[in-house]
Amino acid sequence: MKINIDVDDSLENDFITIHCREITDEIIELQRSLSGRNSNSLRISAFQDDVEYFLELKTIIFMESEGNYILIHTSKDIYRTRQKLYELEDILPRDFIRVSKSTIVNTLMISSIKKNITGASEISFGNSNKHAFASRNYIKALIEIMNEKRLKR
Amino acid sequence: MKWKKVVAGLVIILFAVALLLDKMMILPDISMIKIAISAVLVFIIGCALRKLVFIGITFPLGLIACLFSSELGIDHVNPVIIIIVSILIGIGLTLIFGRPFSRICCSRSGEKSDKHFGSASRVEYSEAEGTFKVDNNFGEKTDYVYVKNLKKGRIDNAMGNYMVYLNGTTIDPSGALIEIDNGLGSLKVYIPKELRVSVKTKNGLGTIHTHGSCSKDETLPLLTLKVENGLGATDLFFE
Repeated sequence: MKINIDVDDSLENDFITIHCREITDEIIELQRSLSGRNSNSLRISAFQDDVEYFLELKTIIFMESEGNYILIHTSKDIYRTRQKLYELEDILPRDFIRVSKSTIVNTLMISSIKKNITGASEISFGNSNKHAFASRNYIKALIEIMNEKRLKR
Repeated sequence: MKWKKVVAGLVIILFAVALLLDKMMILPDISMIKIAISAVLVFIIGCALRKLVFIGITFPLGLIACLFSSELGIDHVNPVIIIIVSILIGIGLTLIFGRPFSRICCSRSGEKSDKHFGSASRVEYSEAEGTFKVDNNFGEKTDYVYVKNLKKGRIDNAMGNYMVYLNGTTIDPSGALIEIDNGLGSLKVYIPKELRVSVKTKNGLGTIHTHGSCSKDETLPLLTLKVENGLGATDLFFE
């Protein structure tokens, strides 16, 4: 694989474009690794009582809307932010996916999905006793994302 | 909502006028009572349609069908059967199309906003008195309870999957009691591990599990959990 770097000081933002003949597992892995490197350093601001915290995205397991707030769940704590769910969905990396009208989960933290064809499927997370539910309308997209992360022959 | 009160007021006035006209034998060929009752039922259907409560739509339709059974050609059918059919259709539609989540939000400032999506549930909440009561009948639901100086609370779950978070809740210096009742469903209660908690259980054929540990500091006020579990699974998480 050849790697070229074009320096153009007229650009407003840095971006990376991958040119390839076809999308292979290697290309997907490369894209994932570049996205992960970019997002691991990102933080999100949230409150607990009157204290503002800056949470690393990798510590967040899921987010759920509650009235005028979004509740951000880590393994052991809950924080609040006033941003809207659709605003977070736009700015969060691809690892964060909406699983219902009111919930976004971090797919990197999912340990199991208990499927239910008649109702909502239960999502469990590693290192946490918390659970979230994926509605029937969103479960297919979640399963597709999880399948991409699976080891393939 | 003001418009709702205005419409309800108008419907009641029309009903009163129709009742009077009927008794005065004006327009004897037209049953004003039937029309007035139908107007009230249509108003109820309209309210139920806004909130997408299917039983609230089908049950009044069943009553209208009973009122106009001869016009509809179903007067040979027992009205009780018509009502039962309408209720069953409402339940079926709720199970098929009812939204999977219903959530009730309790904010620290004492405001309360309810979101009910299909599954039946109630909330009673009084931060001033240090009490709360949340419940879930069926479906999946999550509640966040923030009560300062909690004295008494109640958590009920019938057949659904119910999660209750007590993060941010503090205990009244004289102590607090939360009664937890789980029937057939799955109930998970998340309690801050900083609280001192005593758990008393009564279990039927289901399971009650505690995960993690709470504070043993005897200077802290005591939160007592009285857990009654039927056939379902109750899990208490201290974290």
